[in-house]
Amino acid sequence: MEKMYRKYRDIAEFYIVYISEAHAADDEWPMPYAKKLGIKEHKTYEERCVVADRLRKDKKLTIPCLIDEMDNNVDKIYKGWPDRVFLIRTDGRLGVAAIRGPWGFAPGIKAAEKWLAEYRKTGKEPPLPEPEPETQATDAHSGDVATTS
Amino acid sequence: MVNHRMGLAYGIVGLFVLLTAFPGCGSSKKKRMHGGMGEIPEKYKNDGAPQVGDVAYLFKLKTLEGDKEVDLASFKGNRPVAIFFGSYT
Repeated sequence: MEKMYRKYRDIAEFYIVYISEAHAADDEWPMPYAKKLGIKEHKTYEERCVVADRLRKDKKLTIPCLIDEMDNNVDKIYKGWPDRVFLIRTDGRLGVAAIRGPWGFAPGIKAAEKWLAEYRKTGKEPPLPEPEPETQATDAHSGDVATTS
Repeated sequence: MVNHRMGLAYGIVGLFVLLTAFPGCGSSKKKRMHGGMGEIPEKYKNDGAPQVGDVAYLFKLKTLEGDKEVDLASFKGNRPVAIFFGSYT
């Protein structure tokens, strides 16, 4: 993530959106290191900022970080929790939309990097996939054509 | 000699049983790909999240430093934006 940011920050914007903890020390399924570091779910916006700052310092991240509000509105719209990767094209549509983490995070990073590499190479944004055509299925018994979308 | 062969046979059977009972002992490519989490559950494949081609929700949020508010709409028509949702844990 950090490596990709350093490589492509000249052609794209990058933001971490800090959301609620995935496995805080007081969570139902806490991560051992969350307990060790004493990271609990944030109760206030200020607490969220403190943990986000700690993450950036501990992991030496230089990617700009945005803090989701305590109503988790942006997280809810994007279904970002526990972690997820998106890339917004210049036309405002999503060029990359990964499956939710942890399964989708590494593939999402890979997809975003591939998108950016093509963008740098060609100077054009990779095209969006064609919408799936309507399929026609013939009912063998009646001969009727059923259309599904 | 017979005892030696018997020991080897027991060893092979034991290893087979272990790998069958604890597939995590193996190192399949599939497991490594998803951080050892195994297959993606079906419910997470179609969880209602925005998809490629969807119009993105262009939000405004404050930076960690609190010094400014970033409006994603300001990059429209200009620069693509990569977003990483996440937390420390």
